[in-house]
Amino acid sequence: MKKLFQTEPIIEMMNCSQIRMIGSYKFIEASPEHCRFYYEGFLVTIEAASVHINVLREEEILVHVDELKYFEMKRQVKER
Amino acid sequence: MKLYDRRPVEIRVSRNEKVHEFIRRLQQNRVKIRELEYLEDEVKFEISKKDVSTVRKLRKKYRLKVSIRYLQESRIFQNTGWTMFGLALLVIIPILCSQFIWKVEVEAETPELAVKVEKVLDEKIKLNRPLLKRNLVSDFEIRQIIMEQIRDLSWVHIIKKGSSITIVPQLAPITEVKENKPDRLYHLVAAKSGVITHFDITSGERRVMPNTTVYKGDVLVSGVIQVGEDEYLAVGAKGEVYADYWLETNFEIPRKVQYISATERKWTIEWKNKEEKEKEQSLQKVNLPRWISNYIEVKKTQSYTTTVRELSEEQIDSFILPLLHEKILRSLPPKTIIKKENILHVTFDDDKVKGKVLFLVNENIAKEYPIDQGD
Repeated sequence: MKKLFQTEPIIEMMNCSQIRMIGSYKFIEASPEHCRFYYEGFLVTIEAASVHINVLREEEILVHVDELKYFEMKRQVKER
Repeated sequence: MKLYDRRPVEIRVSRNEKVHEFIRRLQQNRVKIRELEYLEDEVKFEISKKDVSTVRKLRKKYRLKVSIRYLQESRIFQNTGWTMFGLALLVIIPILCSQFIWKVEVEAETPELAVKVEKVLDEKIKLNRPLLKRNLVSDFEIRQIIMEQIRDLSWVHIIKKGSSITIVPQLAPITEVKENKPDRLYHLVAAKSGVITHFDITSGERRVMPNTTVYKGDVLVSGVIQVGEDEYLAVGAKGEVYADYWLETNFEIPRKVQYISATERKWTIEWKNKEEKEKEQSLQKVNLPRWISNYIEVKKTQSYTTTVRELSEEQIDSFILPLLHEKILRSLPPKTIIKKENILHVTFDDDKVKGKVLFLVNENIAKEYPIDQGD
């Protein structure tokens, strides 16, 4: 179920510490220092001193990070 | 209900390569994952209780070691705001509803009367339901209005039970108005012997003069008037004829007499007592604020004291005679006067006073006696 009233994919980043992504995604992997998703045809990689995944909901991800080091979105031609 | 069971469950999965795949599959199965944490040798996250079955299914598939911990015990009353809110509603709703009158019923002998009363209720008293109990007019007013509108009623019972009122109108018994039969004419004859004192007649002809002695059965006022030489006209006699006669009565009263006399009026402040004191009569009351009036009342009271007195021979004139006077007067018809009283003899027993008294009574002695056709 898409988030109420938010039907289009959106990425919100607040203070470089809270990242919220709404849209179709696929969880790939995570560790205390990083996490990785396929998000709307992009490979998203987040690295930080600590990564805490608050919510993994259908079409919504909420991640809290401390000291964000790296945020990458890479266009994937072919999804796995 | 299981579909909506959102109580949190903590899942710990041993950390290996398959964990990511496991989480991915959970996500594909539309499982909401919260607080995902990577620890040294395991992965911890929270899901809802409804999704536990999905976790169990997938665990077998991936052969993972999964520990499930229910964070909230399964209790009937969860310690949550909603439970408290629900419980509060459970108490508040009946209390709120009990402040209203929801049902007004009319129980009448006939449906027509019931409709009549309902119409009065709707139009005059305006009992539109639900009605706040506080705004309800008093029983007295309801009764007065109904009885004013419907004159045939003798009484209106108002029965209040919880949030409903039942109104039971009581029809007055049909009274046959007994009219004096105009076709019947009467003479007035003496019911008792005595000395005529005065007349109070509206029709008829006197047959006796005042200060003459009459005996029982004598015609006092004739209902037939002589017109001309030999013509008689029956008009009927009506009215009262008073005569004096002596009445001899025996009396017997206990020697010990109980008096009830009123004390002077005074203001009292006291705790409200549910059991009303019988010997006390409240004459005036001060209206106190509602919260205090439940406990304390201020009123003007008059109480009655009972005293016991023993009769003695000196009290014949001062006490026994007035007592007998009242007693005799009460047993005789109204307008009767006692002119004189004489004590014949009085004896004092251990516990009783016996005696004989003569009263000179002035009373209406006229009695109706039908006029025969032959007269």
